[in-house]
Amino acid sequence: MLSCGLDIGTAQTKCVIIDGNKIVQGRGIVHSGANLARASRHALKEALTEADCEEYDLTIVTGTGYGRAAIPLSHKSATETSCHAIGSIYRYPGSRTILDMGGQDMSAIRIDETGAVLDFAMNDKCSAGSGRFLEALPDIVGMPFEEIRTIELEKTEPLRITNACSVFAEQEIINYFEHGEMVENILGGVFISLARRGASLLNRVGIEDEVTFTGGVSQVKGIARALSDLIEHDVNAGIDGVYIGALGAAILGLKGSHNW
Amino acid sequence: MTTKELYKTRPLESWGKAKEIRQNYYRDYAKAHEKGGLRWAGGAWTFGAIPCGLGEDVWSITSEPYGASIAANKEFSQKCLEATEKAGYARDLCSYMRNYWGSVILNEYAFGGPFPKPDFLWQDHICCSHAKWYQVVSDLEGGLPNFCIDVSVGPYHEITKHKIDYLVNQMHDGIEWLEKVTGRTYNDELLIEAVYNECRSTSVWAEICVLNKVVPAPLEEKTMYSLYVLGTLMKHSKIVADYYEELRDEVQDRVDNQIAAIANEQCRLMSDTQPPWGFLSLFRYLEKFGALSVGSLYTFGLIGMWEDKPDGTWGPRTTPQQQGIEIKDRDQALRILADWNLSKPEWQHFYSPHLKTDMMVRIAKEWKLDGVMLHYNRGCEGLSIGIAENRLGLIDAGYPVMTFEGNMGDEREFDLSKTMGRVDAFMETLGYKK
Repeated sequence: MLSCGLDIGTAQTKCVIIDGNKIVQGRGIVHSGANLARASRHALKEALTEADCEEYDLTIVTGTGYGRAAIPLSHKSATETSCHAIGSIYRYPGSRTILDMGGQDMSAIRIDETGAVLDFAMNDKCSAGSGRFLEALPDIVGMPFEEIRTIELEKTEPLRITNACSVFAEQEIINYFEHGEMVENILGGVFISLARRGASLLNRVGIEDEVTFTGGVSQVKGIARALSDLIEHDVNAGIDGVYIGALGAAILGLKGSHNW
Repeated sequence: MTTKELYKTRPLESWGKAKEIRQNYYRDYAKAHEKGGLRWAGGAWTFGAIPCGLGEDVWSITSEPYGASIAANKEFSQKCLEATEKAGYARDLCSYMRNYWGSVILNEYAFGGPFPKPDFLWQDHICCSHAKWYQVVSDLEGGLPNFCIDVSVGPYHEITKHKIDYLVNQMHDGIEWLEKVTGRTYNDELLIEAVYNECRSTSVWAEICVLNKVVPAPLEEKTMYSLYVLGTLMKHSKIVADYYEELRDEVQDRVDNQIAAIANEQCRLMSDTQPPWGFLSLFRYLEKFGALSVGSLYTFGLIGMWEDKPDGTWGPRTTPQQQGIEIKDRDQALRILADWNLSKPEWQHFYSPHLKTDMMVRIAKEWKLDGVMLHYNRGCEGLSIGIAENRLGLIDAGYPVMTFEGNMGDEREFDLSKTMGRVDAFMETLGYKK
């Protein structure tokens, strides 16, 4: 049995294929762009290649994310809130509080030991502190995302980025450059600025150990570290955090089978 | 009940009459001068029974419902908001007020023709915006006579005689002022009749809300918005008091015959504060999950007057006429009017969010709710103050809460698709599916 989860986010589309024992067999990730159906097919193709199987081998496809309604090949769908909860409790069984920072949305979710959602809060009209800003960052600072992602906060002397608005924060960064500040120190400030918005949202639902950081932004080591410092809790985070929603969708797809 | 077993449902028979009353209200105000009458403007919370003593040919326009009516017309609202901003007023002010001011600035009445200029302004100070609202209106209209009553005497459970005196003395001054600015002789009999009507209409509205404790609920909040609004227009009128009695009888009949507001009721919610008026479809979206909002402290307690009943439940406040009290003179009428209004549930939270939380938890229990949807309404500081505190109190009491950000009167601050996405997540966490 193979279950596929497709998470169509505003920035990236992620796909995870798991077997009946919830073991990951394949993953794919592409930019969402304007054609969400095409993005979902491309992400699926990547995952199928890694899993060494064909589309007809999939028992069930479950969609999530803001574009879930646009997936022609899904059998069922679930909200990203539920999927991040299920994915987190599977990946980090001690998870009780989750911060999901995606392309435009940010959610803080409190869950119980089964992964059931107890409370959640989302960013509202403003997407400050979301992945969109990180997408723009390589162009602004002249450094590839892969390099930004690995910068360690403790090796920087963070400058203070005060603007809540991503657009104005970009202006603030450029001003720092004009004053001859080092890119690592500017990025240290950006990490703290973004983490502060996540911490604020976490405080709205209440923080209980363990805290798990998911979504595309969670791949950035410096932000995960800044978040941990701000909330004074250890944070589960890693390079696979971007796939947690798709993983949760794939696991939800198993619901009802003997493997659930 | 499973989704396959559906309740009976049918439209309200008295719906058309409610629409007619509202339409006549805005028409009568606009045409008052043609009939030799007077026009006044003031907030929906103002002591509207008092100008009734000037005669039966005096018509009002209350500001918040008018601002909401504009909000429901998105194109006109945009024009009004932009006109207000162009005149230099900040975008974060009360959105009802900005819609209203825009209508005055543009000289366009939401119901057709030029904005009908009032003869005088009759207001009370319930919040920061209301304190300044009509000062600006007066300036925009070239200087209108303006009388305001200060009501900042604290919550009702701490009421004392001298606090009532403080209001009543202002009301007496106000009546002298009304005589002076209109040149009319004040009629105490008309005042007394208006006070009786106000007590009757606001108590009966609470009776109607109590009927919604029943499962399945006979009314849902989107419909209730169109009904409670009559009280915000003229709670002191015989027309509204009589209509609410007719409506109560119809809703009682719905309860007796298990006529539901929505056929697939499974999940009972309440909202809070004014909704985003241009997007009431959000309430219809809930129905896809078998969910409905059975009301809110806002819908129940802005017009309804309440009291603790002997069995410990919340019920309609007993009117002076039900207590056998005969109002004999102006002072007695004003005292009853002041006391009655100060007990308004929606007034209490201006003094402490905990008072509001207590009432909300009470509603959640007595109306058998499964969850709460709180509108972080950026358009109204007055009713949104303390709402995050209310959320914590409701969660502590065991009720799941969803919040969404928006604005009652400025569509630029509300995102329907995102809010629907949030409803999806909330419903899913509560275990309901479309």
